[in-house]
Formats: sequence, structure tokens, C-alpha cells
Amino acid sequence: MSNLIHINTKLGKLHLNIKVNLVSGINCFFGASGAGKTSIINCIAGINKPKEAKIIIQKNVLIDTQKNFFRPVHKRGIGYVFQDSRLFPHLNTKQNLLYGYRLNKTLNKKFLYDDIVNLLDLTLLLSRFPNNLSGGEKQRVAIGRALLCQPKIILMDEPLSSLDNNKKNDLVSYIARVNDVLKIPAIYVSHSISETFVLGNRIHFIEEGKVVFSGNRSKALLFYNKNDNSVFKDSFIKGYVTKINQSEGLTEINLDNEKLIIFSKILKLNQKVIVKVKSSDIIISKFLPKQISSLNYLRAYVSDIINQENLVCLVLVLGKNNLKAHLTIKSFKKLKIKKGTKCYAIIKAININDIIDISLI
Amino acid sequence: MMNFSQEEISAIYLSLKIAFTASIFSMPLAIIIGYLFARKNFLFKKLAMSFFNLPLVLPPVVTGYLLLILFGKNGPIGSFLLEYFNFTFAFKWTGAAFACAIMGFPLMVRSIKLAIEMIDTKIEEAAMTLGANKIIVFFTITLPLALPGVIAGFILSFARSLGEFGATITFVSNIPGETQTLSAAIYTFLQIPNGEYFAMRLTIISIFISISALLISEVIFERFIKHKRENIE
Repeated sequence: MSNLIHINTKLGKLHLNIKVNLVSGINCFFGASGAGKTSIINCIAGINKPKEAKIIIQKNVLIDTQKNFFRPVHKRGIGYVFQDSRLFPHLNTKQNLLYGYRLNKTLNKKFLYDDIVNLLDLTLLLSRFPNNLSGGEKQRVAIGRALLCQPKIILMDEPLSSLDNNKKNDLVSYIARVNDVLKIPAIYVSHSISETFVLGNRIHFIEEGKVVFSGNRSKALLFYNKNDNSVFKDSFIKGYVTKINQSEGLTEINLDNEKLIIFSKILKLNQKVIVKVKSSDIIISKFLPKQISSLNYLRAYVSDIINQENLVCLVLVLGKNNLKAHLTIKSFKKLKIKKGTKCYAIIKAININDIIDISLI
Repeated sequence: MMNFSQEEISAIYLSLKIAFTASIFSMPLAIIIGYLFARKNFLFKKLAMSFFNLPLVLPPVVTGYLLLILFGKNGPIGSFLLEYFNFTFAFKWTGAAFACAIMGFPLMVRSIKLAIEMIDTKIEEAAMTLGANKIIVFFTITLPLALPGVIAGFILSFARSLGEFGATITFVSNIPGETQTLSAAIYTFLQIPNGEYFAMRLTIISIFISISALLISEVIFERFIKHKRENIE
């Protein structure tokens, strides 16, 4: 494999032990804070020095502890986009962009200044200093700066975490565009599952320094929906828009042959989406409810029952999708639910912010 | 307007020349020492810091006397310099500049050290990921970001040198045209009968030079600090 990451080391309290092959495109690492995501990319960047590691990126060995080889940070050819952008405060946007570009002595540069400026819409920012840029603009400059040092891989450490929701969507589309146009492997670290599902060509779930899952988006969705803990709460279901009723303001989404009706006017016909369903927003009924205000009652059956302290988590199967629902122990006993019980999942409401556009990647 | 006498002009010129030379030549070393104190941990760091701060707490006459013992024509270092390089500080304006540099050094180091400590090392880390080695990082990131501190250090050292009297007069005496600075000239005039008038003239000149230096430093500072302040917001 041309991209291999193998790290086995103790960093502070965390024992990091991972073995991952990267695909071209965006590799998302998702996990709770403290799971070791940032440590992984710091090991790749050379900022952390792992005790035992072998990292190969695009056929370049960055570290091989068995051979006692450690490539210093400035010779690694990585483009690092930090959470806090870390632009140079004494340089303007143009000088920031050209910092790594000028230090790189390759003759045939792959990423050219003008192209990157256009790709990230930086033209109007060139003469401004970092203190005069908004959070989203800073991150765009940081991405441009990282790309212009001609990296073999781009590392992004929660680049959206300091932005508000609207800016996040903007930047997500820029990152998707970069991936689309430049074809450079990227690692994207996030504790936001929506970002992970939107951007990930390959998704890795990290828990306490270990990779608990690696796979494409569909498999990641299934894995996520079957597991229930503080990290994997809620459910994410893939679907596409089938009908738009403008007069009533309703949109119909097909979720593997079950239909979901939501109150929204902004979605487009045939748009591919992932719908986030909060497990606490689901009502379970054993019979088809007839006189009920909710428009959404999905046929399902119970495939797994996870007992928790005060609640019971039901893993429901709807077609090929899984859906988690939390019940109190009292209602669980009242309904006499077993594995295989057929039921209806009534969904109270879907927030439009919980609908994720996945047509970007 | 005042008509300056030859003696007055040479005292003003010497004062400025000595202060400027002292501050400029001590700057590179002050930057290195300031960087080491801000960033590195080494054995006897506290002791080294106390040593470099000595001129700040010792009576200037003592500093001057120590310099005389070490760098005078008969001193161990002074005689060595004279024998092998045919160079001496004794009774020369360079000696006055040397004494001033020693006196202003702790102020300059302190100011530079503080400025470097203020810099977020994460910014330097970012520069390294972009392909800059440690030396490039120092000259393109660390030093420019510490520039306000370097300038402040220069001005502090310059001001200290203008006011320097005790160490200079002890080390290189008070020779008109060679080592007689403004302060020394004022002192000399006060020693002779009816000298108060000339002493007052020089005092006014002194005040004028000091205020000008402060004004210039304010202007320079405003330009450089601006970036930094906005950056914090």
C-alpha cells in the first residue's frame, strides 16, 4: 500500500494503537474528544514522536521506528490545516499563502498560486491581515496555504469547529471542491458525525486510541446506527427526495421504500440526503396509528435490544436501514417487546438542520 | 538661538554616538540571550540570568571599577587585547560605549525575552509544517513577531546609555572630545566656578534629546504594535 499508518505509542494517558490504510480522497477520523484523533495527525505531521510507528504516505517513509528513521517536520511534505488556523499575524493573506510555496524548491509545482486563489475565492482577501479576516476566511486561507506548500497529503484537524453553522456549510463545500479538483489524499479529523458523513470517502471511527471501524459511508452508517453509546447516539438514514409539495411546504424523502415527510422547502428533487433522527424523538407503537397528528410512521421490526441504566435502546430495522429508539423501562415492559417484534416507529419531527446534503462528495 | 561651543557640540555628538554604538552592537547578543532565556532550559539558567542582571543592581561605579580591573591596560583581558590585537578600551570612546552596552544589556535582554515568551509556539509549529527549518522559522516568524520587544529593548538601552555616568567615568575617565558625554560635561561644569549657566544649557539639551528619543520610539511602536494588538482581538 502506498499510504500506511501504523502507530503504537503512549501519549500522556492515551494508548494509541492504530493500523490504517488510507484511500485517495477524504479519510475521515471520527471520535469523541480525547479519543486520539489529533494525536494521529500530529504523529503524521511529526509534531508528536511516537515510540513505535511506521507511516508511509505516497511511497514516502515519514517514520519507521524499527529502522530508527524519523523525518523532521519541515521535510515531510504535509499540508496541515489547524483547528485554530494559525495564520502568521505579521503577514497578509498573500504572504501567508506564499510562505510554504516559496520554501518549496520543486520545479514543476502541482498546485499553482493563481489556481488555488481562484479555487478558494481568495482574490478579495489577498491584501488583508489575519486580524481582519472572519473565522471562515481564515480557514480558507489556511487551506490554501497548506495546499501551496505542495503537500503529498493534507491533514485537517477539525477545521470547522470554531465556525457557526452557516459558515460551516460554506467551508464544507470548499473542502469538497478541493477534494474534487485536486485529487490529493486528505485526513479529516472531526467530532461532528454530520461532517464525517458529508465529507468521508472512507470513514474511521476512533475510540480510546483504537480504530473500531473502517469502511465506506454506507457501511459506516450501518455501524453507527447499530451501536449505542455516548458517541453513537441518534441514527442517520440515507435517502433521496422524491416529491416536493410547494403549496403545503412539505417534502417527501424515500428512505429505502419507507417515506418520510418533512416540513421544508429548500430541498431539491432527487437530492441525496442523510436524515438524522434523534432516538428520543421516536415513539414506538405496535399497531398502525390511525388518528395521529404525526405524518411519519415507519414500519419496522426490532433487531436488537440494548439495556442501559434507566433506558432501553431498541435497534429497529427499516428496509436496509437501522434506527435507534430510546424507551423507558416502564413502556418497554408495557409493550412486551422482544427481538423480532413488529412495530411502527412514529417520528415526531425532523429539524431541517438535521438533513445532511451528501451530494457533495 | 543658542550658539554651541565646540565642547558642547562634541559632548552631544559623543553622547549620541556612544549610546547608538552601545545599543546596536549589543543587540545581536541580546537577541540570542533573550531567546535562550525565553525558550531553553539549561543547567544554572537562574544563575546565568542573575549574572546578566548584575549591572542593573550593582552600583554603576562598581561595574565601572570591575571593567577597569578586567579591561584596563593592566587587566587580564585588557592586556591580552593590547598585546595581540593592539586594541584598548582605556580612555577611548569605545570604552565608554562598552560600559554603556554592559549597563543597558539587562534591560534589552529582558524586553526581548518577554516579547519572545509572548509568541505562541504553535505559530512556529505551523511554519515548520510548511517546510521551514528552525533557522528559517526564527528569522521569518519569531524575530518579526518579537520586533516590538527588540525595538523597545533598543530604546531602553539607548536611554540608559544617554544617562550613564558612574560606570563610564570610572572606566574611561572624563576626557573632553573622547569620553566626555553630556552627563560628564554637566558634572564638569558644576565643578568650576560660574559653570552653572553652561550646565543648565546642557541640561536643557539633555531633556530635548530624551524627549525626542521617546517620541520617535512612540511612533515606531505604534506602527508595530498595531498588528499585534489586532491579532489578540
